[in-house]
Amino acid sequence: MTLAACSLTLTLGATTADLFGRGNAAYEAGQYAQAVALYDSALQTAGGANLYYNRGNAHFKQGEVGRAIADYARAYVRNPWDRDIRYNLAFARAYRPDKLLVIENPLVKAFTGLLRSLSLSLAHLLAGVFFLLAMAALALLFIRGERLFGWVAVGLGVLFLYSFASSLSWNGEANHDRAVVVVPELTLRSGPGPDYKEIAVVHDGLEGAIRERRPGYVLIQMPGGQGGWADTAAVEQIFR
Amino acid sequence: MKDEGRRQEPEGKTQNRGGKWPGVFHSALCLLIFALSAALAAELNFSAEVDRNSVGLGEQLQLTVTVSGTNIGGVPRPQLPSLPDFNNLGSTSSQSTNISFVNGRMTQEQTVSFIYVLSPKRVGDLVIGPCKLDFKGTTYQTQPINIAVTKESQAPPPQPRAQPRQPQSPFGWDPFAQPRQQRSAPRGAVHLLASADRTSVYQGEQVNVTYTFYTQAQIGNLSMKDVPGFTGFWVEKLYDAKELNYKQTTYGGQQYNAATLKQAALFPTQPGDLKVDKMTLAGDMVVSGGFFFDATQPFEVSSDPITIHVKPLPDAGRPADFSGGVGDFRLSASLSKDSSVGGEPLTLTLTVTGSGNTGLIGEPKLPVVSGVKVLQPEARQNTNSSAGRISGTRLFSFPLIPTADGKYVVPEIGMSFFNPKTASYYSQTTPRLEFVATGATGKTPLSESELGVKVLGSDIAHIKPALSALAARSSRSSWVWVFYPLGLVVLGAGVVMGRHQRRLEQDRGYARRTRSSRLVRKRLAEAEALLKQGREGEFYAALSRAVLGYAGDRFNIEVSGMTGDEIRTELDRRGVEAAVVTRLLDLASQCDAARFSPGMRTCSPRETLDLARGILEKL
Repeated sequence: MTLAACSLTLTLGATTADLFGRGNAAYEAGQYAQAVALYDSALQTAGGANLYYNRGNAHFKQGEVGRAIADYARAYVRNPWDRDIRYNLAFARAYRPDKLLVIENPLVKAFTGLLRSLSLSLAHLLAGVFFLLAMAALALLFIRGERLFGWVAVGLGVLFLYSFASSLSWNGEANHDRAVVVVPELTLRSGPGPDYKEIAVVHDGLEGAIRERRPGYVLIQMPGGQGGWADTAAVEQIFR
Repeated sequence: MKDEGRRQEPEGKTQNRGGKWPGVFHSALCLLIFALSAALAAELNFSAEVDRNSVGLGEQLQLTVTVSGTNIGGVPRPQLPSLPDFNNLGSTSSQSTNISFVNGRMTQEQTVSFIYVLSPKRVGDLVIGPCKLDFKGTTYQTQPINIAVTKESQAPPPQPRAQPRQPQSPFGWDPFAQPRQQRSAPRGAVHLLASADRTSVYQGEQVNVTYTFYTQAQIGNLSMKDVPGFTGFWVEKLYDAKELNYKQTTYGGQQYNAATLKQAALFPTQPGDLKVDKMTLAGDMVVSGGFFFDATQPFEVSSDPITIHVKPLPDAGRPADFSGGVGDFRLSASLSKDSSVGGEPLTLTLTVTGSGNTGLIGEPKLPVVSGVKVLQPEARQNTNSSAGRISGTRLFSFPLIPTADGKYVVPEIGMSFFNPKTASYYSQTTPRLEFVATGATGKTPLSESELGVKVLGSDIAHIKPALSALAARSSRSSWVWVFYPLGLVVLGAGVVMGRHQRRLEQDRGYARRTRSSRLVRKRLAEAEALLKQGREGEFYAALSRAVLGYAGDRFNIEVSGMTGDEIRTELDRRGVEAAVVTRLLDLASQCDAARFSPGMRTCSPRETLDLARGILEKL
């Protein structure tokens, strides 16, 4: 309560950069809860990879692995080139209590990494722009008949295809149904209510996909197929 | 001379006092008696017996067929029955003669024995059929013998068995005698015995397991088929035989040669009933010694598994610093040096010495000493065995690094152990140790040359100091989707425009028609401008040109050189309304008239202009 009041007074008349700076100071002083509150306020006015990343660090230091993973994922989608973001995301994933054995095909991983050199929004924008330019070049080819336009169109077409593929490669990572468990221990049930049979127990940090929503409950499916109904408050959706 | 001759006689010979004549007479008399005896009818006993009636499948038995009687010189070998259920591994024979004089009568008794070594081919109740002997017109037969064959090797029966009749060689040596073997014929029994010195121990207490091999035959090609694995135990080898050293012992009432194959000290690592695996040996045994036969029979023998009941260490009274040591131990501690200069590390060594499970003793907990960094210890051990007990030393070396100058005290360190003999825990403590550190402050505490780079842990990367320049979105912007249909539209427009361009280049009529509206408007505008300037003559000329030119452009007619009628014809051909054509031509002539004869104007120039516009719209 006091913390919320503090953050409220802090946000009044403060810029995002100011809040960010104060959040960093609180983090370095070891006041992780206050840092999280300051970062939350900053995020209400602006976004950005670094802001999510720092909040993720603050969550992780408090032991909230799930929220840290969510924040790192948000930062990663915005800035996939940053090594610290990738490292911390992998670290937090390895740190969670539920160890999932996921064997990644190294070829697929390398290919995806190559495609993800553009962030999602940038890839999407560039795909549209290159498409438009390629079509314009083709139109000019029809009008003028000069071969140059043809080659320009081909080049732009290639750029468009790459950007489009890059945009598609983010489908797995930036899906809107992705969610992460944010409570230390969560019991999944067979139905949306407290009287249904308990079918699984999962822990902080486990990622899954939200398949259905009911009042107060969501159906979450884990990688591997296992799933169940969980309290909405126990699960945080990563991308809105 | 005579004395010398006598002295040369070999010793032991009975002196022939009577000279030569009595000896010859004696021999002749014997011969005579022999000849007389030969005329007498022979008495013959023919029997067959076995050394045991119950035998195991891999073992042998002896069939002794004896022919004895008087005057049976020249008796043939008895016929053995066909033995489909037995392997004949060999046979020997011996013969002896016994001459005795009873009441003045000499009788000679001869015994001929044929010994066959048989081994059964199958399990069950087998029969050795009767043996036959034909001699001097009479057929003799023995009784059939029942043999019971079982699967396992038979333990030698504890009761003393009946000895078969031993032929006594008249020459004083026994052709069947073997060094280190029974005077009876060789047997085939082998045994492998696994024994533990205790069957109920505490977890971590030493129990010795010994594997001993017993045999009564000579063995060759011995190999271990199943080696015991000792799961659930920590093992220290006590003895593994490189060659077999046999000793004569008794087992089950029988004499055997025994050799120890393996002895191991086992320390159970978990409570419960643990099984010690069996060992299996395979090899060949020599079934019949002697000069004539050396047949070998392969065999396989296993030891019985042993169950060791392991009691868990009692929970009650277990001290907090018990780290798994079971046995009789002593604890001591020492520092590698008592002063540290410049922050260099020193080593605290805790030594546990004694007998028991030295290898399983866990690391002791060190109390915290403020100002001293304690690193992960190194653990070493050495064990030795004497008289079947394992004893040794386990060392824990902790590197200590002082972080500041001063005097440091390493307090007493305690370790607890469990004594299985008294079934109780006991504790030992080390005395306090002191050392002095100088020059530690301000120096880098770790000298890597001594310790090497040690990875102490990993953590997340630190926070970023500034907001990122790009506040990118995490999802696809919706407005970008507009680009795609827009692009297609642009393409379509390009295609259309391209076609238009082609047509413009290729089809003149099309080109003219397309340009016509623009042209006429331009010309009308020019005409209007002329009118405004007051150049009425030029206005009319321009107007005329505009109107006719428009007709020509629209319908692709070269109007410049045509007369009115020709124009009318052409326009009619193109399907223009006659009325419109008429009005057009009238306008043209009106313009010409107004131009060339300004006095005959019927309407003002402005009216003419509007009229022209109206006609042009109709076209």
